Amino acid sequence: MKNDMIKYFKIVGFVLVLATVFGACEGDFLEKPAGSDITIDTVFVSTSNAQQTIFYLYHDDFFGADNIALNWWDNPQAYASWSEIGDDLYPSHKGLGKSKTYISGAVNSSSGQMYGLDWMYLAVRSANTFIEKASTIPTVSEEDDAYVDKMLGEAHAHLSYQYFKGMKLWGSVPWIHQRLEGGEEAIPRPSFSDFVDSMVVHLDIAAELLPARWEDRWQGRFTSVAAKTLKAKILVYAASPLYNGEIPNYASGYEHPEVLGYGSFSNERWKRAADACKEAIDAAHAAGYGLYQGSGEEKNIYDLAISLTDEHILYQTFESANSEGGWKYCHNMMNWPYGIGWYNRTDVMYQPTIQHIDAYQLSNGAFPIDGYDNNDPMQPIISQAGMDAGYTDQDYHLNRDTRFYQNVVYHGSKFGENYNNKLINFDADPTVPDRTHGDHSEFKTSFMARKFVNEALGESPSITYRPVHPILRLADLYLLYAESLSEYNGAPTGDAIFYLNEVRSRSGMPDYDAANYKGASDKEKFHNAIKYERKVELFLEAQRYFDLRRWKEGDDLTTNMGGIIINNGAVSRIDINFSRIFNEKMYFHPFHSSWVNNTEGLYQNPGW
Amino acid sequence: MKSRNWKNLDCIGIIPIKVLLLILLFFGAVTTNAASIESTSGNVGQQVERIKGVIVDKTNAPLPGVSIVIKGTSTGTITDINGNYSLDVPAQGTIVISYIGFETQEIVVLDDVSVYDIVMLEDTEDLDEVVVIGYGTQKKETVTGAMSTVSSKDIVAQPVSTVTQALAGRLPGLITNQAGGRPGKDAPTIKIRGIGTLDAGAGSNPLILIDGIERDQLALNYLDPNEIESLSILKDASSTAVFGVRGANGVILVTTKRGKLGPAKINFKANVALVQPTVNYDLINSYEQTALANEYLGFAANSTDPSAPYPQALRERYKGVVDGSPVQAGDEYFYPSTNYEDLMFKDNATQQQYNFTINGGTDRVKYFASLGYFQQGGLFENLNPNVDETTSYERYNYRTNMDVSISKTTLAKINIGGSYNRNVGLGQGGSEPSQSYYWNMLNHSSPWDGYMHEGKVVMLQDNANSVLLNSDVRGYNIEMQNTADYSLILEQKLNFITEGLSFKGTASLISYFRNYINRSKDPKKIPVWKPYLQDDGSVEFYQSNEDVLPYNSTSQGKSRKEYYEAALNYKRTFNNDHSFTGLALFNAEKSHFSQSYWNEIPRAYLGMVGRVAYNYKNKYMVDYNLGYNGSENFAEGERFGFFPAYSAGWTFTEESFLKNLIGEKILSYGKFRFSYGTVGNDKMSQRFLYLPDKYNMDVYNYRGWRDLGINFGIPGEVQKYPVAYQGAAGNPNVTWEKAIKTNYGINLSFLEGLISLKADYFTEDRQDILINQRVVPVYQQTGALALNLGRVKNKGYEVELGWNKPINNGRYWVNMNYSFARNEIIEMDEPEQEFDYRAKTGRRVGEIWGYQQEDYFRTAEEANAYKQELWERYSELNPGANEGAYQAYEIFSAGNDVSAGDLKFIDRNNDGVINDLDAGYIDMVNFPESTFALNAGIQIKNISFSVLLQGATNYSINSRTNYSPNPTKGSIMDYVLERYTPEKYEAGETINYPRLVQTNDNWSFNGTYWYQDATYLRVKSLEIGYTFDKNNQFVKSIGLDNLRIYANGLNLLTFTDIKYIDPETTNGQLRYPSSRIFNVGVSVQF
Repeated sequence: MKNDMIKYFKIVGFVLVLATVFGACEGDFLEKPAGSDITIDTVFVSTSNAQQTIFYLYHDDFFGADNIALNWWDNPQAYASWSEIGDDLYPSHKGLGKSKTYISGAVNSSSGQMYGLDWMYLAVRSANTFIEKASTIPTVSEEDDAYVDKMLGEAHAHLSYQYFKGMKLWGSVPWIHQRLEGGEEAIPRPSFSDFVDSMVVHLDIAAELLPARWEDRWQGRFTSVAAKTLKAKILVYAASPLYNGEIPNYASGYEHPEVLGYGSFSNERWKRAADACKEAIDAAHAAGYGLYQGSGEEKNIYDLAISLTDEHILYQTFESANSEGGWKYCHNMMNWPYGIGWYNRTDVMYQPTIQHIDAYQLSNGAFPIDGYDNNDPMQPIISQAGMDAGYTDQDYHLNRDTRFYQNVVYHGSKFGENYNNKLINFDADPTVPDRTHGDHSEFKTSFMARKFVNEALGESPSITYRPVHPILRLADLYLLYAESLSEYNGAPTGDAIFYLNEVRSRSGMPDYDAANYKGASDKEKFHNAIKYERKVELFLEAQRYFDLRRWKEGDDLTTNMGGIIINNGAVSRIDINFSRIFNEKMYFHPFHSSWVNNTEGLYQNPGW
Repeated sequence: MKSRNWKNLDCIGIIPIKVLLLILLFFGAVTTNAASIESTSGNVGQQVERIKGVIVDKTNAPLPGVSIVIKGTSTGTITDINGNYSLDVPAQGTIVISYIGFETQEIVVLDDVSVYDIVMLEDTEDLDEVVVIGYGTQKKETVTGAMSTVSSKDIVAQPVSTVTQALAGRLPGLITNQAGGRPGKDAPTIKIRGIGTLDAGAGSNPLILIDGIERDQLALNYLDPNEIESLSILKDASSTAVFGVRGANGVILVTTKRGKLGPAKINFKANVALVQPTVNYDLINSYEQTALANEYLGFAANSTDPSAPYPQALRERYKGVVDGSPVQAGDEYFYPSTNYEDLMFKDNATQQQYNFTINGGTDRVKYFASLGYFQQGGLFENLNPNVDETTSYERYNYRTNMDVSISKTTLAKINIGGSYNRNVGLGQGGSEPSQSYYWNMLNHSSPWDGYMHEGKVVMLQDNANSVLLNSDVRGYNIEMQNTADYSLILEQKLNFITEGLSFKGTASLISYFRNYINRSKDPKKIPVWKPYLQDDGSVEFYQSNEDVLPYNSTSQGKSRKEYYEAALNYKRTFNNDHSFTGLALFNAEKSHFSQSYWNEIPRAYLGMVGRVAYNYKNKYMVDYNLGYNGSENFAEGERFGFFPAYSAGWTFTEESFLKNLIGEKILSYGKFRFSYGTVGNDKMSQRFLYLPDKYNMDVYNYRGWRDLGINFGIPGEVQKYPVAYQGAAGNPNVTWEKAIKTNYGINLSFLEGLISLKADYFTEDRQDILINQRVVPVYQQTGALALNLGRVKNKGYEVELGWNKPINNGRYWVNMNYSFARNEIIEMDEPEQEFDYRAKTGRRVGEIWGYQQEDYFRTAEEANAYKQELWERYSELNPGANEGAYQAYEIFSAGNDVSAGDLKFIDRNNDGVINDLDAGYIDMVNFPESTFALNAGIQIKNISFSVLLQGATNYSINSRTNYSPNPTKGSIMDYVLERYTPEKYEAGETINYPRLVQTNDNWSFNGTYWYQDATYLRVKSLEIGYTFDKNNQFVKSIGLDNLRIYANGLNLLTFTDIKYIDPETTNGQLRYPSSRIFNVGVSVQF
């Protein structure tokens, strides 16, 4: 019996131990443990939390300059590069990106759209949420109060920034000015006129609230100068022929012409644009912005593309290390001649076409190429000035606009100045020694883009730099101002020519000479000068596609692309069998059918 | 439905278990005492006689622990370890000899005989066979639901690495698809009765329980097949209702082996096998590929045009190397033709498996213990002499299951099991590295790019994605995983309350630990060598970049799960006719994850189960099953739900009138089954669906990768700042999805069991499917709300037909089964589609999206005629259109250049243009809807032979693989040579594919031309064995009980129309091929 008792106690003891191991009774079994939730109620409880919702608006998902393709593996806007479509480039990764259908003209309402309306509205919602919640953020000091006001200004600026993105693609889109809960009545597209005015109103509010410059640590955020510049740009767009006039012919019969533009021409819109430009320029000057001159005429443009300068009014930047994983712009790392960089891949690099090269002025300001043979689009027509300068295809790279050398890597140029100073050799003959590039089938034009490629990166894996992708910069604003003045006055005014020359002379180019440009009138000649300037100055800055569209000159985009081939040193032109096609209906992009099908009141643009 | 009372369920849940365990132990101890007192009271006073003897089984093995009791008394004894007993018996008394698993015998003791050696015969009463059901067991003949079971014998008959692989064809209603064969990562996708919900992925996977505790498929894969006693799948509502909110996709129940009364049986098995790929991918050489490259870019194959990518003069150099007669000395180093598949893939690998088990017990303690080892080598060649790791898989398993009778009425079960897995992959790793191997090979490694020379990688073109640089030259990664489970189960009979009542309490802990080691280099920094031609014509190599040390990283993950269960069981038969069983069960489960795990919030479930079953003379049966459980995913009021199911059965052959009418000889057994009920599913990738508008602070971008944050500041002092962004808005009204299931079944057995037939027909109506809202105005951007909106109907049937005949000294059998399940999407919150063929509603889950393609144009005339047809349609719709600018095939970059050899794309929306609006669903699914199998065998005397044929149908795969070939980069598989060219067409050569040119990329558009019926039939496994029993002199002389040698194989033959790739390859995506295995083994018992 005694043994049994001992056994009994042993067992009970064992069970007691087990029971303790089973764990204590803790709260509600199925409830989510406390402390791990961040909800709308816990975000807006301090300025430091709330600012993170503002920072989100700078995320490249929405904020991107979209000039250079982002890498494709962690960006929803991967390869959404507008330069690829508008600048004269052969995009060798055409098979990967969304740009493909835009370039080939095959885009339709069910193909992937470059920028999603859904992404745009996600940013709009974030901005609206901040505007709604700003007054509820508890502040602890006057400084804190002032900071909330500045952030409120940013929210308003981002709102218009997003809607302007939308306007450039689709015309007006439903204007959402509050945080939606779901289940609201259908919200229609407003008239173009109202749409523009609403953007302006928000930018005016933003300009009131924002500082002209941020303290050093906050550089990169929206400023009042940026808000004014954006407003100026919106008004220049609104005054441009696509919107400021009759709706395009192909849209005749469209039920909602008011969402596409004003419907009639008014010269006063150019005045409004010019005034806004002037106001922005004055504000910029007052805040210390100026054209970048620090590297000399031969280098200014290249340097401002890879480093931050006083010319940058609004830009996108990344911390970008030269190693795997730390980089967002595949272009920066991949657009490298073989044997120099770490990660050179022809399948993602940009190759300017021969048409792009042909477009550069000579250093005296004249154009060497006048156009192409009607029967053979690869055959250039050499202008009188070109003949005078002794232009041949063999010597295409001699005596050109300095921006040619800053924008393009070509056979015989040097790459990696101050680093490894590699002589570029794109010879196609495999027996030629020291060739810089392999025989990759996607290397088509024998040109590569230099702008935005930091040559220092090939040197060492430890170099970190910030690529600076301008969204708004002063040279752009100068040109917009010059354009508006000339358009409003019917001919270039002194101020117009002054601002154009500011931009040219910064790169060592001679002053504007109307004799170098085609056109039936001074205004037309000046327009063509602006067009040239915007093409070479703003190369790879995602401007040309939108410029050509607002000017209703989209036909310029239709190109049969060519390149050159160097065989044992001899240069010949080749057709690279790649065409870009622009259809009229591309002036207003399609809404994806899933957006239309899901959204009552969002009617499709004409022609789609 | 009331959930308010459940607020403190945790306390309700855990405390009672603790209390009950205490009470239980108290009773247990008391009854132990009672029992010991009883057994000492003898029966004396009569004339007694001492008898003795030895008790053995029919193989002459002594049986220890056999009970010998004098009939009518409680006096008795048990046999010792050698089967000996002795007992004083009254004269003319009767002794009763009983032993579990054997037939009880009664022997009358004779006056003059004092030695009784007894041979015990095994109990073979089949009808009393029990099957495992949710939270219990049930006699097979009273089952009214739909379930299928496979026994350990069938599972181990195939030399597979994971248990799930052995299930193909074994269980009607279970559909498997094995996409690849990488060692240790080759478990197939499994679905029970097809896909019944909108999610064809994890959301439709079955629930898996091992010894009653929910586990994931990984845990099942890690089990040693030798540890498994049986594996069942539960298919209908009545068998799955008890799993409530998680049972809708069907349930897999695994039971591990337990000790059996008897002397220790020790079994050792050894297997060695040869592993081969089921398919070989053949690549073309440089000479052939340069011709394709020319053609691809619009030149003649043997073009002499210097602007062609490979002018003929250059091609001659490759040709010389391929033929072995180089044009110039040293050409082989500059114009190589590397076949990466030959270079990097071995023809075969080895596999070995050892298992040691011991099994036995007395009426006090029963035990089962197992130790197992499995190893499979990989098929990748070891290219790097400095690395000795290559793709491989190793697994160690252990298990001890003990049953301890604490008293006559108390049983404690202690289960301890676990595994250690080690899986090596090449290069940097990832979930399926061999997938990237093929990607690199087919997209980035041309045969002329590089080669291996004396252990060095030679690259003529720098390319970090070369497959050579992603082999073991780059490094390797090792994934090590430890799983362990510990369970304590106490069963207490509560006959003192009422006869047939018992209590069962379970506490389990499951732990999982994972260690991942990566030792690999940046492929851009691996030293590669380059050749150069010296003046004297010899070739030297120089190293083009410096070697770097491999990147070395480790990461860990761990989790643990606690599981508690308390159950009251009732089982009693009244008057021999009326049998009742009842079950009331409470269970709770909580999983914890390590902090480093991305989703570290513990996961919890809570539930109750009820079951009442009644049967009358095993003739009429009714069951009622109920699950009542809750999921953390939903708001408080929506958390708990009832899942009831009703079922009934009628064994009509028990009816005497039928017996008389047909006769038992003809129709030996027949039963109708019917069940109806509701089961739930709470699976969704998001958790806590009810919380208000969530914000994510910083951290991950939309793909779940660490984001860089936003940079502000001046150059040199830039800082990254985290962001906060809105996550999905919450929905407090969302709740589980419901599956309403009906099952009709019949079991028939003819000619005394010679022929058996089992058939089931089922329907399932999945309602309120948990989906993310899809029709949302684009400007709303609240995030996709979780909703209960979808509806899918699923129905199908399973048939099993068997022929099982005993013959002289053995038997033979043929069993066939066929399963079919087809679903239809009734509702899924889909925006209205302009064209029917683009709408998913009304179609099947997993339908393939693509173009309708009808063959290719044989001639330019055919192409022009079709183009003209399209143009006429187009110009009709667009009056005044310009034919010059018209692009018939907008999808092609040369849309007007449609010609001979191009695919005929069907203009499904009739707008005169082929563009992506013509893409839509093409009435094919990518997961088999039907599977079938035939299992036959024969056993005569000591020889056994069995074969399993298995197949699937009603699905399609991408026959061209999903890589659109580009001959200018990457390697090309030889089937591409069967493309169209005008010359080949003229010459009447085999043409299976459209032309391959860059501008008209026929090959890159999914469609009906490329998707092919993937029906297949395999000789899945085959086994032949010979057993040497105790009569064999040799076996006897070395002291063995039994020795068996056997040979078996897996995937020995495949019949299918799919060429070049395995028919189970998901979506045609190339990956490590499935294995064909030839195995020999020996099993000894002593």
